Amino acid sequence: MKLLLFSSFLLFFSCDNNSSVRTYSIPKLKKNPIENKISNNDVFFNWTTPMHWEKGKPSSMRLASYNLPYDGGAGDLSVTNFGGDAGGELANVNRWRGQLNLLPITLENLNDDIYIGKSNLGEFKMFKIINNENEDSAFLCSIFDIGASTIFIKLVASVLGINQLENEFKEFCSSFYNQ
Amino acid sequence: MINKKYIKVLGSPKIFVFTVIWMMILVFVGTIVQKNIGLYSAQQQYFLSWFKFVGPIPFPSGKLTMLVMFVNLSFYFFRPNIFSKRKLGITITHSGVIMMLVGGGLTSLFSIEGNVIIEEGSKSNFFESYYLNEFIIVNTTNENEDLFTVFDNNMLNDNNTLEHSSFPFEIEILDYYDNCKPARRIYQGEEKFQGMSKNFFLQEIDSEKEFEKNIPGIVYRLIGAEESEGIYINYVGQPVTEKLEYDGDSYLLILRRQRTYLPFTLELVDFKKVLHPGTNVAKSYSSEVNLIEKGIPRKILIEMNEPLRHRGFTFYQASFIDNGMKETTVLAAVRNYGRLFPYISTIIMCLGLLFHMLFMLSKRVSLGKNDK
Repeated sequence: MKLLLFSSFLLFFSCDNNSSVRTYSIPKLKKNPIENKISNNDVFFNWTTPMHWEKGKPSSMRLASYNLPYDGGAGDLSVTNFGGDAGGELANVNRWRGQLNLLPITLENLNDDIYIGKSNLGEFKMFKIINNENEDSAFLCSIFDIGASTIFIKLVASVLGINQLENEFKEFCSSFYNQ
Repeated sequence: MINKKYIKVLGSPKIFVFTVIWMMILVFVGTIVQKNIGLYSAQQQYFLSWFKFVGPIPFPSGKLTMLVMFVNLSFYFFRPNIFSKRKLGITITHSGVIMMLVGGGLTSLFSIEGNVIIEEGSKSNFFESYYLNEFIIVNTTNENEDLFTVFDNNMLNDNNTLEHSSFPFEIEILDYYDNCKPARRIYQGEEKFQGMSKNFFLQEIDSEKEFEKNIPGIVYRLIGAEESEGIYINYVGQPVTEKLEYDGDSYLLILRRQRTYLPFTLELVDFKKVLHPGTNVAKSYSSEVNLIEKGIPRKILIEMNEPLRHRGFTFYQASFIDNGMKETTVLAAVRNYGRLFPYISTIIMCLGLLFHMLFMLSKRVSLGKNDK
């Protein structure tokens, strides 16, 4: 009986469900073919990103995606490239405004709230689009007109995120260069 | 044999009565405070710890009380003649109660619970704990596979140093927060900050009442990695993974909810939601899943009151996420080795009490006959 009692106590106090270091190996996931297709090798320009940005989910439309951290969240940045002027600046700005339930603007008002930056690739125009009635979603969009095609850079985040990430976004757009 | 004096003292029914009364008080107080501090904290403080400190005074918590009850009941079995006809019913009842306590102990020590989140068309072979976290270092250098080194939740304490032969540096934990939020750093200070901590710091905030809504975070110093040395931060759900290069190897540093890997895979084929007519309130929801084991899929329907039980795991339809694009199911997953103990022990206790009552009844009847 003493032995039984001792064994019970030993068993009880030796029980531990959660106090270890474990190691294991997992085979790498095969790369999605779409990911390879959108690498910068297919296009003739490139850019640099800050160390703390992380690559986002690839998509067939995007050349690249990044997650940009800000206080309490992450913004989704996309880089796309379309042939020609892709509808023009006004049409695209109004399309983005429509996505935030804002009324379209006219050509006269297009330059009211615009930032023009420079990069090795050329000039870009940045638009900050915010609907004050919806603080969860706002855009920072840049357009590079490089002649044969137009590059669009779009950052989606909350209003707080957009305000915090604005400088990083400008620096990113300025980092574009001819490859 | 154990001294009779000890058996009498430690096996005294008075101890059992006091522990039962104390448990009732704990249950009452735990239920009341749960409203303010949340279910998880109440369970931890009043039932799953050894002591509950009220100011500087320690009071026995549920774990210690149950252990005392277990020891007290166990000493019954050192008494003489416990298998006699007169005491057999009581002995069976004691066995039932002890079995229930053992089941409770097993549940408290080994049960795991969490949730599996699967998007339509996607698969998952793990579930994530609601409350526990793990810190992982992934060596991604090899072209074919990643080597994971996982540090469990109870190693994530302030001033603890994490080291392992699988990586050539040390991690000194400076702060570990149950709940925090990242905030933009304004001053750099003299420390060498690396990765996300260059621009952000973690701000500790009060724990949420629903503990699973907390965002745990960790601040640590990497030692022995030359240029990559410095202070890093990680928090659960961090959008940017911390990366470092050292000695030709690449590493990822991640804090995440503790994962339990399943010996099979679940694939969500279709999620169905039925609303009450004319409202947006869900009447019922169900998940049609493929249970894939050894490459062979088997279709199973998990509904609100019809869980999937497989290989010691139980999956309940708990919730769903509808982001307008794809539907996502949330299954509550539980593995509990002590699951059957309450059922079996209750039956044993009933049989013991029934036997005892019938024996006493027959004794009284026979005494009555003799009186006549």
